[in-house]
Amino acid sequence: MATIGKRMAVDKETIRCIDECKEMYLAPDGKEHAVIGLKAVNSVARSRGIVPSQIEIAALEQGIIPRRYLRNMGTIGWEGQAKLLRSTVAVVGAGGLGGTIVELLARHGIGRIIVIDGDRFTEDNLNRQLLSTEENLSEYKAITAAKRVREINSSVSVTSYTERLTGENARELINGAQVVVDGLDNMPSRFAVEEACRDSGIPFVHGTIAGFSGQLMTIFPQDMGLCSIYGEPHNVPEWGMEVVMGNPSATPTLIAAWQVQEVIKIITGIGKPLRNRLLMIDTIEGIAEEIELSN
Amino acid sequence: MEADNIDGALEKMEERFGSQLREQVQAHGIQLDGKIRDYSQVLLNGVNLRNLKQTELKDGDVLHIFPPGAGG
Repeated sequence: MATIGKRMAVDKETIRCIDECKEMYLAPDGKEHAVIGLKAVNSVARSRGIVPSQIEIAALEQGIIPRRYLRNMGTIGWEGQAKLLRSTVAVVGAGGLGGTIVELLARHGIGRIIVIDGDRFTEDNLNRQLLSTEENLSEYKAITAAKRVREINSSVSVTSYTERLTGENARELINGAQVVVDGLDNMPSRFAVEEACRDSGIPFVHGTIAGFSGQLMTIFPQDMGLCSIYGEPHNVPEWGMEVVMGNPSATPTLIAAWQVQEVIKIITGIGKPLRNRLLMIDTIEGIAEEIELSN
Repeated sequence: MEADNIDGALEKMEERFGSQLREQVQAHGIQLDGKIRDYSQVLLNGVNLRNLKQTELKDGDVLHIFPPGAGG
């Protein structure tokens, strides 16, 4: 049996319980896989006093696929899934971009998600912010995000911060994250997060939207980053064209989904992140253009 | 398009595409009129206009002009 990353601290009895709960699953391609269902994971976790994510990692190490991640296996694989379950990702902003990002990270099985947003839902969020509903208007976005994560995936641990991110607190709030994702709505905060990520040695997945267009780029600490797109921070206005064009319903999810894909690539090592390459998508003209950035 | 520098390229674009270009570009948030609005993103061969040391063009240069979004 291949060891996936570092050994987990689960004992032999826990492994035996996991093995006892496994079932066989016949995949559409005719291959048979050992799987473990959600109820069994939670039951073993409770009986052994271990959090569900550790049970899932231990199962993967035994070649047993948690059933909820079956459709991840063909691309992410056992090892990739275990890496995701061990990872921590911070999402800064839980609105249009951030709401979808949190949702998809939870479904992917990121082990811990940190959600930072000082805002509460308002009625004008309802057109596009996936986590907003008529019922939760005026609630903190970060708290709602945490509730949603727990509904989707009880293996994911989530930490919510309902304070506004600033240059002063950014480093503290993203502490422990392997990747930070941009769900912000203004440029000064983006530059503040980028600086904190650079100082902390954490990759930052940048994304913005305006109207029917959006753009994204992954920034590693040694990369040129935001100033290669926008110029120096002191020259960059706080807002962009979204103040004129607004944010229609589909654009945030389009960009957020690709940002999540970047996160998955960074953590699993699969594929090539969009580093020093700006991906610009214009859905009205039907254009997606990659711009190689230089200094 | 032939132009000596970025300003020249913008003027040529206006000459070639006239009001239609102006309307389209302005609808996307970029004001031409010989000037680029502060928050427009203009990249020459992937380098932001604000980071350029010179704006002279040479054969094969690629100029990207697109409206910045800061929304989330």
